[in-house]
Amino acid sequence: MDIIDDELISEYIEESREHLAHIESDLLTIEEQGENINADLVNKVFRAAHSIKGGAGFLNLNTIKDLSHKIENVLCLVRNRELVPTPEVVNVMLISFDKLREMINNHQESERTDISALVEALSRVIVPELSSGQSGGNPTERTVQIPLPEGIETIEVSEFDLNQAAKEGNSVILAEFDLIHDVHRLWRTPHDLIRTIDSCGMLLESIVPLSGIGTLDDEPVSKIPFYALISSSRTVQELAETLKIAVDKFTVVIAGASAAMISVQEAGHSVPAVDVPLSIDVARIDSLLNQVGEMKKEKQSLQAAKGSDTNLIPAPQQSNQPVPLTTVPVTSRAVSKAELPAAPASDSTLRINVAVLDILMNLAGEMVLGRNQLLQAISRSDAHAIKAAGQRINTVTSELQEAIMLTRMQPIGTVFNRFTRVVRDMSRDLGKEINLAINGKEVELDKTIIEGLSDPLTHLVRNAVDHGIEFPEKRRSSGKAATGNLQLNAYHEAGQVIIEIIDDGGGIDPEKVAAAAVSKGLITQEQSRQMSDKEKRFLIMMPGFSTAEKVTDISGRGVGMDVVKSNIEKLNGQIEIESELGKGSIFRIKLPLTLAIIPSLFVEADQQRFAIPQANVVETIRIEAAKIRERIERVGDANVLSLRGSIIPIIRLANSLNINHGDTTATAEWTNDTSRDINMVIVTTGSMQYAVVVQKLFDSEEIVVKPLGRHLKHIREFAGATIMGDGKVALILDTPGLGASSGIDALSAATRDKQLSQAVAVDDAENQALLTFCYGTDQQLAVPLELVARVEKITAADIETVGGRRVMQYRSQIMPLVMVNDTANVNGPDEDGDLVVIVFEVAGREIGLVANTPVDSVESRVAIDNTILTQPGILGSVILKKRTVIIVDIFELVETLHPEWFTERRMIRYEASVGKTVLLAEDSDFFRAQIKKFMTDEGYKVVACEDGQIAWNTLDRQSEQFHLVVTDIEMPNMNGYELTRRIRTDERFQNMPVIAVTSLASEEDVEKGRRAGLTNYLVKLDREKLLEAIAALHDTN
Amino acid sequence: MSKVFKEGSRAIFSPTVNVVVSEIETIRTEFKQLLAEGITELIVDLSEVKMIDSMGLGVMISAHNSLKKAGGTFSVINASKELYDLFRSMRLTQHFSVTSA
Repeated sequence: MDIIDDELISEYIEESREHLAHIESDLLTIEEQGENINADLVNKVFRAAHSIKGGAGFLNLNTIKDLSHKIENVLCLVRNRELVPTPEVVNVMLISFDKLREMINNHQESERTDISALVEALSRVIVPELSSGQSGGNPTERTVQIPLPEGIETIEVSEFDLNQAAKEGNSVILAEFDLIHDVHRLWRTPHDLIRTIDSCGMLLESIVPLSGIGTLDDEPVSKIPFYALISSSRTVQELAETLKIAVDKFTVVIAGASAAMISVQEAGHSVPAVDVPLSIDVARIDSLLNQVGEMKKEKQSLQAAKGSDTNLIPAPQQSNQPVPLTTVPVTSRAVSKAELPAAPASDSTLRINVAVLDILMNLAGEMVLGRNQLLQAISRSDAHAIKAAGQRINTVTSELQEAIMLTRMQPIGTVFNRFTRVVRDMSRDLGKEINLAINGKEVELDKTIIEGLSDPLTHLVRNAVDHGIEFPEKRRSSGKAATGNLQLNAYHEAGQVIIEIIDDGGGIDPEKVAAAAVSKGLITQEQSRQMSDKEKRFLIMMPGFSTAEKVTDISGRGVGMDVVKSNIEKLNGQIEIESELGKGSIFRIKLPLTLAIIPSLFVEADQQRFAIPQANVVETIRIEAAKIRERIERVGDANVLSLRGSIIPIIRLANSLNINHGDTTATAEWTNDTSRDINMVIVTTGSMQYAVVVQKLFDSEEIVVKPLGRHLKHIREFAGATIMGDGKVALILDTPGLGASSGIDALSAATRDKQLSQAVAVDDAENQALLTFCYGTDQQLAVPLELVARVEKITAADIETVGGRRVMQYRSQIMPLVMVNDTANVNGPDEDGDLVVIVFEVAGREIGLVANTPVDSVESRVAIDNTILTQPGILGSVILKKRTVIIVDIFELVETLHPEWFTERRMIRYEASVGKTVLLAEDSDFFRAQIKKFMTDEGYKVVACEDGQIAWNTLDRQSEQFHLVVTDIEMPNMNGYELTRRIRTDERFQNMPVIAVTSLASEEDVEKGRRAGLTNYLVKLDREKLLEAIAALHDTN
Repeated sequence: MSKVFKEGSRAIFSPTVNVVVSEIETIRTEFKQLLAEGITELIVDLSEVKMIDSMGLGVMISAHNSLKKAGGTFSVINASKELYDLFRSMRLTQHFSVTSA
């Protein structure tokens, strides 16, 4: 063909791009496999190069053809196991394919491209193999002898060529020509014959057996046989016709697949349907999506009109009047071809499974039927039929929308796969060793999201390699494996797609980041002091930021992080950072599944409608008027909801959005109104939850998201807007934004959780949760929150005095009461004020500590001073918010007042303690002090350590000294399990009793403790049990 | 009439016409002549030959066979690109040397 269509070239380029898309990852896999080549994989790459070569030859793209050919040669050797795909070899191929890609993308320039350096490199790769090949000549030519029909001679052909042909599904046919009869009579020259053979296949080998021809002396022969071995996809019949010889002159050496397929066609069957993907231009799909969006709105209008009082159908009595049919504006336009944008360059095309298109066709058909139904029903004014038709159109529209969405979804693997190469190249250049693991390649995202993610992800990956993972020497010296790990994860959660980039590098140092931010003037010193570590780390996302010590060529200046963030936000996504110094970092990107149409819950606040995306809605709740007091509590100036054991902050939508027209209920006071039920929606921002109080709840509907205009985009409470069925606008709430503007952020939510939670886990060594309470005038006392079982409101009248002891009736039992001033020199309670009783469990009994309100809970980061102010019943004091707060020692208090509860056991135990030294490991100041006190009171000598590591060191150094170890589980540096294991595996301490005293109480934890080798496992904090357990050891000894 | 250049037992034979069926007989006779004269090294110069047909090939192959039988050599020089390709496709180059112009 002399005329080459532009279309042909486009198609070729597109196909070549497809081939090239996977080659990189395939080559890297081949490199990994090294000597154990996967022949199929190598073949796959080979055929990619081969196809590219073929098309290039046809289209006269000779440079591309030459380069592909050279690459083919190398691949061939690899496939035949004559060349090991070492990194050097793979490198050359990677670079060559890069060049090929470059040329394909720029095919007009490709002819002028200089590929000599690459050709040389490729040749050099082969040469060492050539010399070690078989007796001279190209080692690819292991030959096969094919006997000629006469039987005398054979034709020799390279095995490789035969295999090649077979793999391509071609037949290999031996054709016999008689140069004199066939060629001479029918062709101008033998040359023409050769050319014709070339056009219908490939001439693998040919031979003119000279023996049959004789010498000059002999009679001139009447026949000059010429055999040609041809690889072709055509049938023998076709070849016979083209080459102008009889069918019986052909011998099939290898029957190809094409022969089989063609015969099937001839038999009248259709070629089996294969799921060949189809290329579709993205713009058309977008257009389709828009049309569907419009249809949805029409449908909603239809529903709204039906639902409203507008008379669609006139009452039967008015049958004499002309009926206006156009009450409902149903617009239907055929999508004219002119409206679809013209097919642009091949860049914006998608490959879609033909099966999906079939579904679309079906649905389109259904839609047409539904429309016909509807039109008919309208013309007949048949209300019932209109409803039915409306239903049908409703269903079909949804299915149609879903199907079209499907076409736009692409697997994220297309982006992820690139990174294998990026990481490999970068780590080589930098001299680092990095392992890349990819999970979730099949997770699908909308095409535009995938495109938008490409840049940010690349930046994050490069960052992780460049700044995150340390050099091997540094890693080794910190006790890590020299090879760093980088993980890319993608998965679905809560209607979003989560993408994580996880590295086990050095982590992000919040202090360094904050310092850098301050020195760049991005934040003030004051602001930095008030930030949490999490907030400090997030500073790297600020524009103008960079902590790179030197500007490496590799990831630029580090100013890209703010661009990463804004790119992700453009996709309606969020980015989070989690990091631990020395351990690594996690960058987490959260994205909505689609951009355009989302299901949302409609709510009303102050007569205005709002939409909350279903993905953010956890549940809806109605609180009956009578239960308001019970479920909603006040903490400071905020209201919280108690929901199945957790505490959730509440905001009132009308308040938050400042639409309190006529409603004078100030901020938190609305809860005082207990006359009506309250409707709430529990929403999530992905990282935290809160409750939104609304006036009305409506249905969930699918809405088309319309972005807000430029002048409104900055309002963080709203994510967009939608037009409802009745034509009115509803704003879509942005849950993180709304939470932020209402003063709820992740930090305060978490803190609140901690404060009010009755579960116990003081794993932060610095913090001690305290329950503070007023006691008398101007006096603040406190007890450790963990020990508190309950707090009950009482009145002064509830306190009775019986037999000289204070008690109260409690749940049909008598509960003893104690007061701090009974044993310590503090003021008594204010009997006129509000009273509460704080219930504890001591010595197996419940006792109540009398207190005044307000009762509050705080976290104390300050060390407890247990030297000043100690008296019986007082453990020490602490300064909170500039006030002195006295910490009550409830055990001592109870024991002092009710010694008879303890005496008996005391005597037994005393013996046990003589001369014994105990090693105590406990990170909480309070408990360390408390437990030490218990044991010293009992007569034990106690050496107390702040954490497992220190405890071990002490034990190690003074191994003779200790008789018993009492340890907490949750400690920094070395936890209780590890400490126990250490002890158990050390010869010196094989028989050392180890008792754990911890707040972890689940069966798993106990089991874990048993496996670690603990002698006993006790829950904080029962003094009696602890002392008994220790005494029991003495008995067994 | 072809040009012949002899030097001892070596002869360079340069046809001035196309080696096609119409000329075959003449060329065949000329070859036989040379062999009878004791030529053992026959070189065919194709500088002026544009075309060789099947009969022409036949005659050249016969000449080669004869010379081989007599322990001599047969070779072709100055073949045009087309002719060289032809010899190559037919794998005749495996039997005797063919060089292009």
